[in-house]
Amino acid sequence: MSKEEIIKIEKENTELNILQDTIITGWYFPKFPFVCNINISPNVKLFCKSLIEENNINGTINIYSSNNSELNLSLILKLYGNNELEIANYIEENQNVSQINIKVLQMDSKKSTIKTVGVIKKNTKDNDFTEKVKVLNIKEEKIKCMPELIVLSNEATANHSVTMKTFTDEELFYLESKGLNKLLAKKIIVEGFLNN
Amino acid sequence: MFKITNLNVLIKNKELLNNINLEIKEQEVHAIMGPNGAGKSTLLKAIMSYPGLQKSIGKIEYENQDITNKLPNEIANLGIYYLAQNPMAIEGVTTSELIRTALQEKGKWKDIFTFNKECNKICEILEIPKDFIHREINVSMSGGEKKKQELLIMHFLEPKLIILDEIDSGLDVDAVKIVANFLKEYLKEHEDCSILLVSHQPLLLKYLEPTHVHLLINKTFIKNGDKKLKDEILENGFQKFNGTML
Ligand SMILES: Nc1ncnc2c1ncn2[C@@H]1O[C@H](COP(=O)(O)OP(=O)(O)OP(=O)(O)O)[C@@H](O)[C@H]1O
Ligand SMILES: [Mg+2]
Repeated sequence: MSKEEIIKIEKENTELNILQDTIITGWYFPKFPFVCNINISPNVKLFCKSLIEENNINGTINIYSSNNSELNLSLILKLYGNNELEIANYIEENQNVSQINIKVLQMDSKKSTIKTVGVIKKNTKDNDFTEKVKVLNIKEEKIKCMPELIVLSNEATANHSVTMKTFTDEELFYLESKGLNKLLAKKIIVEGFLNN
Repeated sequence: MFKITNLNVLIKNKELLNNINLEIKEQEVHAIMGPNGAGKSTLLKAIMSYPGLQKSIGKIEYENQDITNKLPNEIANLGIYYLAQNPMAIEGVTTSELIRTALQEKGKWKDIFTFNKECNKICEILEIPKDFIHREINVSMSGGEKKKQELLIMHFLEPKLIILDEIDSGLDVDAVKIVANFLKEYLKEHEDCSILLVSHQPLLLKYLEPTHVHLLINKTFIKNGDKKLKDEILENGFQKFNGTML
């Protein structure tokens, strides 16, 4: 049985040890800059599928994988205001599997920066790291995405992709020409992005 | 039912169409022909109020309403259906979702049973798999499949004026026949319907038998005629007409 947990970040520096299989069911972010370190113990699975609707967050989430651990992180970030968020996964030892899927949407006219980092340390082996980041920009480029992948081991599989999508006048026109008003057309494109 | 008077179209102050006049009545099939870059697609887009196209002079009327400055969705909901030369792909949204949302906007409602039944019937006629309705709009579809999918949407929206921009491009010989028959059948079933199309291909024009043919060269219609004009163009190309104009 997995444990269910809501991650509450209430201090500038938060340290969390994941000692057994855990499902993260929600996040609580503070209104001040923060660093949150999450350590996954050996042989433990950490699973998280969350919709995060937040404004003005500024922080770093570092996830450390040790030995034979599994990380499955799916986040949908619906952002308001100016946000700066870094999500990093450091793979320290062997036989870890990490799958990270992040979708980002800026909901207003402010700007956000999302940095994603994947590091596979030296002298490690049999690690498998996959990361997909998808960004939907509404008309202008509101989200800056900075992906970084550092693989220092020769015996690792690492994949990452970033897709930036802007919804264009042509897409909106297509839906409008089928009878949908502009607002509805935008809504349906956003829903499509989230469901996909 | 549809009338364009003295229409000029600009994009960023560059003139793309000049003095366009056109009148379409019920049950008529109008074909626009003309060389690449003449302005055919621009005209069809201008009718739909495509973003960026400016109608500087002239008027477009549909069923006694001035639609020159209406929004694309308003024009669509009045009963005009536009099928683009390259239909857009919309990721994550299925054809079925689009149709249901569009029907809601029109204040029409179809129960799921009727909807599925009609859908199966149309898919059969168009020779596309029944699950097409659950695919993402124009995502990973072949050129021909996209056009058929657009016709499936058209069926549900029940337009009165159908505007087709090179629907035959990307269609194989059999598909052209299927599509032409589908359109002819639609015209037969909807007495107040008419078609305005752009095409370069003899085959579609042969099957659809346009009642009116307009030759668009260099931003304007230089000649209007009937089927005979189409045959003349297909036989001699545009060069001859280019000459007569100069
Ligand atoms: N956004 C734009 N900005 C500037 N010029 C444009 C724009 N869109 C179209 N044009 C120009 O307008 C002219 C007419 O284009 P249009 O697409 O209407 O041609 P067409 O007759 O449909 O040609 P084809 O047979 O190749 O489809 C072309 O010269 C094209 O380059
Ligand atoms: Mg064209």
